[in-house]
Amino acid sequence: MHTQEDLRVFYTKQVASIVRKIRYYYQSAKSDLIHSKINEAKYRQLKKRALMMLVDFHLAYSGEIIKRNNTSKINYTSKILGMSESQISLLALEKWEDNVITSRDIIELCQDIYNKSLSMLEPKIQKGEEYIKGVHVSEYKVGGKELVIIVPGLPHIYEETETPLFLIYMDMM
Amino acid sequence: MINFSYKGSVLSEQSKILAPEKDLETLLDFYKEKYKKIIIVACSFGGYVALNATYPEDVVNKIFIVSGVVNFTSVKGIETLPKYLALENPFIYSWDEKRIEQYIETSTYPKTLAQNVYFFHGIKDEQISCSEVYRFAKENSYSFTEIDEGHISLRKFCAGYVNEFYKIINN
Repeated sequence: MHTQEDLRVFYTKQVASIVRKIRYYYQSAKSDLIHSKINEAKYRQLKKRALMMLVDFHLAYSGEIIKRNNTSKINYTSKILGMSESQISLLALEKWEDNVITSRDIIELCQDIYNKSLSMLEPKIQKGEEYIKGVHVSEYKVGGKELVIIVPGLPHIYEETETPLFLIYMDMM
Repeated sequence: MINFSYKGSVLSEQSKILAPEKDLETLLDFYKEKYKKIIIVACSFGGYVALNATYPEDVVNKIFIVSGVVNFTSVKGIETLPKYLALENPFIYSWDEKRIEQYIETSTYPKTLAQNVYFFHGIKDEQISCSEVYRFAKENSYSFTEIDEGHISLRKFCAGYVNEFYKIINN
């Protein structure tokens, strides 16, 4: 039986995980644009990243899982984040139109979602992250007799960083 | 349980030099007084890191490696990794391309061998040869379990082989 405290801790860990994921999407969007100009394919890819950030934010904010094609929920979430009408319409475009959307527009949009999501979610995160001589560490269920250290692969795969949450959820640890 | 990112990647401090074993050793040094036992769970590239780190005496109890690298020369497509990390993802990794190349080119089979190492490797792994890992494990009398998978991530492994994982971690 989970206590309220267990649920609160689990929730904050989930939010921490979502914040990391949003950060990852944002960094990937920036990396995508550094070498190439925007085109139809690139627009679709970046739009997907921006929408995934909103889907994740929605999960952390309301606890509800939505799909990225759920326009009404996406619009609702965009408004919670204080996005402008022009930003919302940018995400609603079916096709990329030359000279209408630039790389800068998309990056600014992703940056805006990123900054606003973090400013709303980070205060909810229980401090389970620290730096040890410059190495970033995320701690889960520490304090027992044994410590499990996960040594990651390269390139960094997002879902791998979520392994501890999965194991805790499965009652394996 | 903790996970971390190597210095120079993702959320850790920026660095031009790739030295992942040192990052693991830094953590071991930090946590060794606080815990009686430490278990290492490594995946893919992390397998090589785990096998090459220097461990404080009597602290690390088990090393568990999924889809692990034992030597980079036998990893298919490894020559594309430096460019992918340094040039295509500069906001995620700050390492210098040449330093990554150097790290890979100078890799050898681990010399100081750890104890209690358990390998799990997919027989259909096209990136890291299963037979190579098997040979290494047998030569060093490590436990080796072949699984009917390709190159599998730790998360997928835990989901599909949760009982095996549980047994090794908890026994």
